[in-house]
Amino acid sequence: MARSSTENMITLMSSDGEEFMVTEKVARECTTIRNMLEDDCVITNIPLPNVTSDILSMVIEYCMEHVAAAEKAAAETAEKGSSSAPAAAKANKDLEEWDKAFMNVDVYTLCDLILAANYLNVSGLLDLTIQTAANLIKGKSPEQIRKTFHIQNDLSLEEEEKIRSQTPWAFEKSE
Amino acid sequence: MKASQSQKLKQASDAGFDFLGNLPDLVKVKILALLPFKEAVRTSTLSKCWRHTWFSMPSLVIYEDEIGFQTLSEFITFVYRLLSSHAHSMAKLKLVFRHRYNYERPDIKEDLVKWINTILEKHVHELVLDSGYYSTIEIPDCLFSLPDLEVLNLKCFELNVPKHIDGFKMVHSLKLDTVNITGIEIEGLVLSCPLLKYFLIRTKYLGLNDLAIRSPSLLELDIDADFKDLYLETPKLVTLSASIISTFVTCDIYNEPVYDDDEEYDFPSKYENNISRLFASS
Repeated sequence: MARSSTENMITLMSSDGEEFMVTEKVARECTTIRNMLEDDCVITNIPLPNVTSDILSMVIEYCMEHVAAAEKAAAETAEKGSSSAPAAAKANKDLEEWDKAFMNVDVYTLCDLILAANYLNVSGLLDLTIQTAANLIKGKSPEQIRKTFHIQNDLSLEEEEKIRSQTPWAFEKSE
Repeated sequence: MKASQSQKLKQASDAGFDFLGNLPDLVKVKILALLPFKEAVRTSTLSKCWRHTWFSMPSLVIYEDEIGFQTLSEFITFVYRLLSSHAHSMAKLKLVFRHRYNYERPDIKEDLVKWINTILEKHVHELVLDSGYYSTIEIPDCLFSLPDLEVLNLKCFELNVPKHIDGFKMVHSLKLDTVNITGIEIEGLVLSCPLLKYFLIRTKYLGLNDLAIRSPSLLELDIDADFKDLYLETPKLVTLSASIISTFVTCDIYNEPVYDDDEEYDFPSKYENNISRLFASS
């Protein structure tokens, strides 16, 4: 049991050697780290060789925001006995707005965030990032998707034709 | 910092590195699962590393009209091919199609047998089949042998439930909507699902004389059928909703017999509302 005034701090180290001090609560938002802490509770320094410093700082920013929002909601509930529905709805909406603004990144950063969220197992961030990627794909032609994500088409014309002929209905123009 | 990273990445991308395509397959199929099926299939022409990705989607939800096949046979052939070439286990399969009973070939049942035999190996947990209102398609016996099924929704089918059901041991949610089935078959089916928690039955035709439901695990029961007698032996039942067409219904509800020495057995009070509602609606 950590005393509330001096919370346990954990140091996360990115692949390029930068150190980030975070509270244990924030670190526990990453299921991968939570499992490490549960296996070995005295661990205070965690190297993350798969995550670069700029992506790690974004993941931490996300976790801190979501921990703060949850703490605020819990504090309000404790104070009033029960949380008021309109206040909770507003807090949810604020967090959604924050998520939306947080996702205003280029596609390379987005892909790196997906990888990091997957590796660190931050389920909220993984859901958010893959939904963002799906939204960027939805309603676009293959050519437009390639342009959005800078995908080089390494299929030959014959190969592409062959794939199309296997599922021709998928490529018909919808009215 | 962020900018320099982006630049680095952009250089790599200009050199032909496909960041999205190089995400782990488990993540890629999660993205595809958020797209309409047709668009998920279309990603097969993005590049080499996308070619087969949609084949391993863990959950397939296919609406025939979204794809726009001319005949049901074409759709059935397509689904069969898809299921046979799908390399991985599939958690969920939902197929919604329309049986044009008057001009389709009648041997659809055999195709269904083929499908079901392919999904037998895929460990499907959730199966939803909807064949459109006028369907007379009969569900083949082999469906009742699926061992991994947890959720089963059938809409608009003819059911001939076999006497011995060797699958269904894991089924906890069963919805039979607009099906042709007898009371005895329902009884047998429920008895062979030891974990059943939710059961919905909506029969297609009138004339279900007696209905007896015995299930030690059932929590929620939803009946929309025409029957004369309803007998429930469902000690854990919390919610019962029933709409009854017949003018006269008798209803016996049997719960855990907790006899005290000097007290007569009463229904738990939570059932009283349900029972009065049941009578009120009849």
